[in-house]
Amino acid sequence: MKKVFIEGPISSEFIGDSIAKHQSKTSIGAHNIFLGQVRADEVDGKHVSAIEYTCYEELANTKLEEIREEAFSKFDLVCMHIYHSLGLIKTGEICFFVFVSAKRRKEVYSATEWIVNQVKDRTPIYGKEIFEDQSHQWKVNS
Amino acid sequence: MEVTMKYFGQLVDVIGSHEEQKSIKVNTTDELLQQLSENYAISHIPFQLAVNDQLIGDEEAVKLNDGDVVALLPPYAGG
Repeated sequence: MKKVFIEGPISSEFIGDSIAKHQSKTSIGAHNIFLGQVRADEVDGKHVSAIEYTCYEELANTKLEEIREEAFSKFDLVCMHIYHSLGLIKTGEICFFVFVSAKRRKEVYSATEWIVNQVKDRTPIYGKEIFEDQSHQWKVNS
Repeated sequence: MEVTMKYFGQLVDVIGSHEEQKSIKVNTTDELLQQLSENYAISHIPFQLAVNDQLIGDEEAVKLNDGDVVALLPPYAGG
C-alpha cells in the first residue's frame, strides 16, 4: 500500500524531492503534476483561513488502491503518486498532489484529470473550512 | 451487542463526537439508523453507510454483529 496521507501541508521541498526521485527512471518522457491549494473563499463576508482535513483512512486507502489499479489499466503510465494532507492546512498551502509519469505527454494530461476527479468523487475525505473568526462550515465539492 | 460508531463531516457537529462505542439492542443497520435518527437531528444530512469498511447500498439492510464498525459518511469533500 502506497502512503497517500500526509499530516500537515505538502511542502515545495517534498514536491521537488518527488520530481528528483524520478531522474533514475529513464523510460519516462513526460511528467504531469496537479497541486490543490487551499483557497480563501468568501462566505457571507467572512474569509476561509484554513481547512482541517479528516478522512476515513481504512476505506480511503481501499478506494485509492482501486483508483491506482484502474488508472494503470486505463492509461499507459510508468508511475503515479497521490498525496493528500490531513489536519490543518492554511490558505495558500498545498493540500493535494497528484504526480503522473508516462513515456509520452499525451497520456499524462488525461490521466491526471481522471485521477484528480476520481480521488474527489470516491475517497472519504472531509474538509472543515475554518473562518478568520474561528467559526466553520463543512466543505462541499462542486 | 457492542459496535463502534464513526461519524464524519457535518455529522460530527450534529452528534457531537467522531467515534463512540455503542451498546445496541437492534440487529440490523436500518434499525440502528432509525434509532440514531430518533436521538439526533440527522435526517437533513445525506450520508452513506459502511460496515467494517465496506460501503452499504442505500436500500440495503445489513445484519450487525458484536464488534462491528459502523461509519456514517456524508458526501466526500477531498481535494
